[in-house]
Amino acid sequence: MLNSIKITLFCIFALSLSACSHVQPWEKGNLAKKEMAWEPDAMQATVDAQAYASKESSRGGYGSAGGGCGCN
Amino acid sequence: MRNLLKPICIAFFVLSTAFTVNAETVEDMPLTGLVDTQDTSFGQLKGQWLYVDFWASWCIPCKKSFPFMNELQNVFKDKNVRVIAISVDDTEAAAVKFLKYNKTDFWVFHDPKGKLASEFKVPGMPSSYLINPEGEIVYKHVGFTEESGNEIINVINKSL
Repeated sequence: MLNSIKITLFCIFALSLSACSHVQPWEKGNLAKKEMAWEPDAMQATVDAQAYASKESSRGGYGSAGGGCGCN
Repeated sequence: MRNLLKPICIAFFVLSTAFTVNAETVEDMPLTGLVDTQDTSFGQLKGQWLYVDFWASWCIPCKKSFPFMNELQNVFKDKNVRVIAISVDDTEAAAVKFLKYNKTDFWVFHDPKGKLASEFKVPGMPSSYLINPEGEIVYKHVGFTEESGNEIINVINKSL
């Protein structure tokens, strides 16, 4: 019984440490900033993608949607 | 116990109604002017129809709405309608740079911390609100397309 309480308390504590936060629509400009890009060097990323495409005979599927103004 | 239940229910109903009304009424919040616009507040602007638009320099549909807002201000200038645009850019420089390339015939304010946007519970960018002379929000709109412009003009015409 004491163990399950300890585990529950530990889980609550661990979950409370979560760093996720809701980005408000007026804060989404931060997601479009250069420092928020997955790839810090756009030129290097393009070269890597080119090498990947020629080795694997396929391209795309990298990156993700981000930012946006939450409209329409 | 049964005697107490009725007053509690009435109090709860009255308080919940008061909260709803308060949420739709614009409080007297300060407005910080950008570029040529002077500082003012919503309290000082009471008595006229306000078209309030929240925009940001990084928001593409916001850019599209600027010519429309110029037209709106010019068409309804003599009908006690004032267009005010509130930038939510985190830096003044970003907003000023945007304004350098986008003409404005209306007042522009700055809300870098999102305090006003938070009060208005802005659901997306751009968001616009029509506020009557009593300070009550009578219309809300999110996003901007050509159809939005026609819809907004229709609502203003009907409201005036």
